[in-house]
Amino acid sequence: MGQDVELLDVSMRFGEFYAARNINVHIQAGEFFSFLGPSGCGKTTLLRLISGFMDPSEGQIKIGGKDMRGIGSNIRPTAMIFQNLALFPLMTVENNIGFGLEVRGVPKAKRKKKVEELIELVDLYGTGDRMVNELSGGQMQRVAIARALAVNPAVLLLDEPLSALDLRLRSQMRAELRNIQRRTGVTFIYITHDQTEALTMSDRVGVMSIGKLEQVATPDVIYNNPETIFVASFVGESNIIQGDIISIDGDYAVLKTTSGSFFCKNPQHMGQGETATIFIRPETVFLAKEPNADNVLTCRTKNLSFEGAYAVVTLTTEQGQLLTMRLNNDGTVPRIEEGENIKVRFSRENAFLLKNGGTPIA
Amino acid sequence: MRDFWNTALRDLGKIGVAYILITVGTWLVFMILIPQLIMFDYSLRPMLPLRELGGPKDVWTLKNYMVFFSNRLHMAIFFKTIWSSLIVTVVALVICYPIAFYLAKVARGAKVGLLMLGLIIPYWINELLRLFAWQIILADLGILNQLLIFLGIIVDPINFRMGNGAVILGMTYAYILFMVFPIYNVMESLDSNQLDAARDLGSSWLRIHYKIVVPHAKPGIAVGCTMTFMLAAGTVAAPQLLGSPSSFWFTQVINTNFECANWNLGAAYATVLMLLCVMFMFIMLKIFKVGLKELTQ
Amino acid sequence: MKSSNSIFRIIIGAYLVLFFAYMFLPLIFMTIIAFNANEIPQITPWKGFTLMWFGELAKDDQMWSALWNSFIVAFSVVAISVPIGLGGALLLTRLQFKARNFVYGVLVSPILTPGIILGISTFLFWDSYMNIPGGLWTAILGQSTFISSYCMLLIMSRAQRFDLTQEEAAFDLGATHRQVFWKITLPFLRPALISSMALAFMQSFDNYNTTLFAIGVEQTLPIYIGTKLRSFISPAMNALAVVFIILTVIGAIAYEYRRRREMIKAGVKITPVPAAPVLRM
Ligand SMILES: Nc1ncnc2c1ncn2[C@@H]1O[C@H](COP(=O)(O)OP(=O)(O)O)[C@@H](O)[C@H]1O
Ligand SMILES: [Mg+2]
Repeated sequence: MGQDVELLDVSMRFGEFYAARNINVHIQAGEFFSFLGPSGCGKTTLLRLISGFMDPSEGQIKIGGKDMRGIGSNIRPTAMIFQNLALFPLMTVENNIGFGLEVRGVPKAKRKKKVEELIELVDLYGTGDRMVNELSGGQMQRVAIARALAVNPAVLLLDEPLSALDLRLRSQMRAELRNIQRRTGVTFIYITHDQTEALTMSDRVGVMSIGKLEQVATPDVIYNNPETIFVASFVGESNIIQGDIISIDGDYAVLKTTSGSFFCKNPQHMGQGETATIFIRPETVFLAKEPNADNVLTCRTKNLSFEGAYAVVTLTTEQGQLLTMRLNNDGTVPRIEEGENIKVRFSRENAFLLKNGGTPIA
Repeated sequence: MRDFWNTALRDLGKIGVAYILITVGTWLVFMILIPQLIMFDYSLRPMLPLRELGGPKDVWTLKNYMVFFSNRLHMAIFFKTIWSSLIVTVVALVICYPIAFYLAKVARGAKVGLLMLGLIIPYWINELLRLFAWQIILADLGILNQLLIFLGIIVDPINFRMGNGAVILGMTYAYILFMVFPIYNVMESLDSNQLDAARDLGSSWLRIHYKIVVPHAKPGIAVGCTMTFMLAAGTVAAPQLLGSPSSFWFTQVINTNFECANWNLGAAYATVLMLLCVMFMFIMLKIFKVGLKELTQ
Repeated sequence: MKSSNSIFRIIIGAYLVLFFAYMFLPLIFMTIIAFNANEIPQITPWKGFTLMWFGELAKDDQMWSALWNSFIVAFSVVAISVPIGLGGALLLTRLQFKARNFVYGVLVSPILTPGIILGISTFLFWDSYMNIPGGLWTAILGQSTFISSYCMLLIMSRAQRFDLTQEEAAFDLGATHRQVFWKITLPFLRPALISSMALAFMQSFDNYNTTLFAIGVEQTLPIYIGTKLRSFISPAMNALAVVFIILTVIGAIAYEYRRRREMIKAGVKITPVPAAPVLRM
């Protein structure tokens, strides 16, 4: 069964460089939790801290309520699936999977039985006595998973395990991983730079920028209610409009920009006079039917690319503000020509005002 | 520092760290450093009868080195050793460079394995036996004299072992392969595409070697030269087997000092030889602009 | 273009022929002489085919005792140098410290030191300073000083290719340091350890310069050969040379065979050249 993992003000310093800074997160027992962030942001470092290959420079890591400082990775109830898998090339598949049991002194017969169970679990029939380098990429992946599960870990740590696989295999493995997690009840801590992966598989996602945990929330909240500029720009596509707040109205605010003034949600409760940025997802921009409503922009279509289920329209306002709109191909959309002048609008519910600063992703 | 020990213990365990400390410590201290220092210490002390050891006369002095620098015969022998070793080094480099290049970048397939075997076999045959082969060839009744007489070039056999030629010839033969392998090893890592590209651009062979191959092979050339020079300058066997009794070599002078039980003088001479080889190595590093690290990679 | 190419090939071919003739002809002469009934070790005059020089060699007690000593020394050197080389390789590949390059330089310096110096310094230290008389023991130590460096370089070149995450994976699965070493690290290093044993043995068995000064009054085979060649040269030495050559050829071919088999086993493409006939120095 899974155990919970708690990171309390964890920082990791290499020389002067902080690979992780003041990370706080409580991962529940049995949860599928993902750390999502660009490459080099310190995801692997976090995982290595949890697995015990190193201790944090500052802060505390608790697994199952117990402080883990000074406890080696061979004693922690974690098992890791490495980015490069780190299978043992001189051993057969069986011996790879059984390694954790062997070093614990589990008798041979019992070991064999457990290995067979795992081979079944990860769908590797008939490969038991092959050497690991004779396997395909997907099969190696499964061996790594089985090997880690063999020691009955309370927490499974997965470091971009699918990044080496091709697209089809990847989506298949995603489903299988999710399945295995449900069946075993083990806490999964999953690392990825691929937002689709994080959003589709996880119970909760923690989005990281360089060394910093920006937001922890369920996938839909991460996507629909990003709390920082970084999250909004890293997860999904967004239209960005900058301006100054001219008035506040409860949870909403009005932002004055060169292309006009807009009503937006104000989740960070910024005050009047602050400069801020509006984020609008392309799929929440529509053609304006009533030209005098709020949040309407007059644009010229620059480019239109038809992609089957939807069309992506690139627009620009007179003031040079770029805008992308994604129109569902539901049969109600009028035909748009390139170079045509149109009016578009967005709902105040779908536009977020976020503080400038931090580390936006271009 | 604490970090260092923590990481070491974490990665290798107590036993692992202890193992490294004991093996490398013993080697470094008792086999490399102390014997060298003791030899140096010996070279700085006068030879004294046993009862005076530790007495007032047993002090550090440069006397042994003065003996060497004031002995014109020994100085001449020393310089002979230097230039002979230089000749051996240059000849070996000239002969081996094309062989190494051919093996590394021109030859293909099974041929390479075969030629390589042809290099490894003589390389592994004992140094003394390789010199012995030349002892036979260069003997008064040897193959070379017989051949020259048969061809009518000479009437009476030549005593090849009179001068220094036989020793130099023997040294070249015995140590030439220490030049091939280091150069081969670095040339092999040269990207063949670079050569093809240069040739497509119409560079001449000479230019390709000068601009691409030699710069790449520098560490290997430096190692080969250092090794060959060191072996030639330090060989006892070649002068013993091929030298003439009337013309000594530096290692033989060192040997004589020890045989005459003047260990202090012998240690001083040995230190001079050591310094010569170290200096040569640093000159090589400077000429070829490589670091000590690259030298032994 | 075509013709210049073929001229080029002829030149290369001729050069190779000359070079290998230079390498092998002396050895071939030496071999032929071993079978000539002539007392003087020369091809001419040819006094008929004989195996008597081998018989004479076999009757030489001194040779047998020198051979025995050589084996003792060589096995001891293997037993000392390979563990030390392993220690050095682990130190330099696994630990990060500031003086790393300096320590590296010191540890490989014995290779670049003339053998005679190593022999002299070892002898002076043990015989004169520690009052342990020179003999096989000092020869073993003197040889091990530089042979350990060779072993270290050989083991290092493999250790550098080791994927450290394999050790981490093993730890992570609950292994102790000892289990990680025996089950993961050592199996990976095994080929290099075997090669370094062979290398240490051959280096020791062939060593003359260091041994000559370190060994005192004892004899190993090369010392015996040296003594013989300096005094009275008999074709029995040719017979000994033939034995050496045969063993070397067998050894070289066995090495190549083993290498190919390893590569097939490891599933990598067979490279036409042995990676380390001598080390990457
Ligand atoms: N052992 C280390 N020493 C120094 N810097 C390191 C070390 N490990 C990681 N880093 C640095 O920490 C940062 C984060 O690395 P990592 O956790 O591997 O990122 P990610 O897995 O998100 O791509 C990188 O800039 C990396 O260079
Ligand atoms: Mg990573």
